[in-house]
Amino acid sequence: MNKCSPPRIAEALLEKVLPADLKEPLLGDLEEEFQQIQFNQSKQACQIWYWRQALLTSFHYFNQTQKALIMFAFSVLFFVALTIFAMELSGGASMFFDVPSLILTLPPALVFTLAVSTPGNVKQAFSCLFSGHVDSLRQVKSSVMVFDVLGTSCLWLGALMTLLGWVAMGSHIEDVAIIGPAFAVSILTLLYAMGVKLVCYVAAQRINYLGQGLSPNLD
Amino acid sequence: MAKSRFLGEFEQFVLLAILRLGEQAYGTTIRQILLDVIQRDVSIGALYTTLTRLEDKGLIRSAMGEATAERGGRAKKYFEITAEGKRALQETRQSLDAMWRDVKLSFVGVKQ
Repeated sequence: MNKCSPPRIAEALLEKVLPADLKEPLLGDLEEEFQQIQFNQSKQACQIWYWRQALLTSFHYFNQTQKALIMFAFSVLFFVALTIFAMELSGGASMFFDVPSLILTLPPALVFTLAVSTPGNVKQAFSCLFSGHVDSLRQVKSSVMVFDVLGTSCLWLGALMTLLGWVAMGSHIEDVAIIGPAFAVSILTLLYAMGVKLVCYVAAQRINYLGQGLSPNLD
Repeated sequence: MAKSRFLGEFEQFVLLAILRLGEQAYGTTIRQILLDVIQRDVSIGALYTTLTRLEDKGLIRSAMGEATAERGGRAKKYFEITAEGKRALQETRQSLDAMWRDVKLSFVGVKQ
């Protein structure tokens, strides 16, 4: 009889969600039982059984091990909801959405961040933020630096692009029909940049907080 | 009066399963005995949550065992009931027995 392996994605989910001390025994128990049930159940039934166990188990441990991710996601969602609410009060949210304004700030800021750091450090910074786990003060410093560079360069790019828009408006000062939309777009660029800076500030503070209990000797 | 420690229903089942299994009490076997004896199909996550809680209370202790190929090279975590665990189980049983004494089953809707 050809034995199949447990579904890799379900295993990866459990690896991510389970507390470190339970990963080995719990994943081992699941694999042992998975191998046993293959003698009297179809391959598909075994996969469904594993997925069911993985999802139910993840549900049990998600809040325990992923609290940092939940709280960060909640705070960002709260910020987005409040911003949209304020936009609606100001006469409709649609006038606040402008893709070019976002493209002018976020991607160049990300490129600057990659230029002063490394792709590995950027990945590690987001990983620390979402997992709520940091191993050393060096990791804290490099992750905070990533969010500082991302947020600050985004803010400066926003300011720069806004000024650039004002220069363009100044050169067409006689055409009032152009100035209105151009002014709105230039201010939107600054608004987006400030939003990104705010989220990056919160992310950096979160990582600083996570690193508070770490000893300098762990560097 | 000393504060007695009563156990929840599932905690009692898990402790009794560990007692029945003796030296072979680990996640898979505990889950299996719960299914075979009381037809309770609990998820492995729910079982480990209870096991962790019982260990935190000092009612059981655990030790890592051997890794086998059928477990993907992962080690087992064996559980053993402590003296305090046995005492808590005993107290809960005595309390339940005391409450059940003189209760006619007809009172709770069971025909005798």
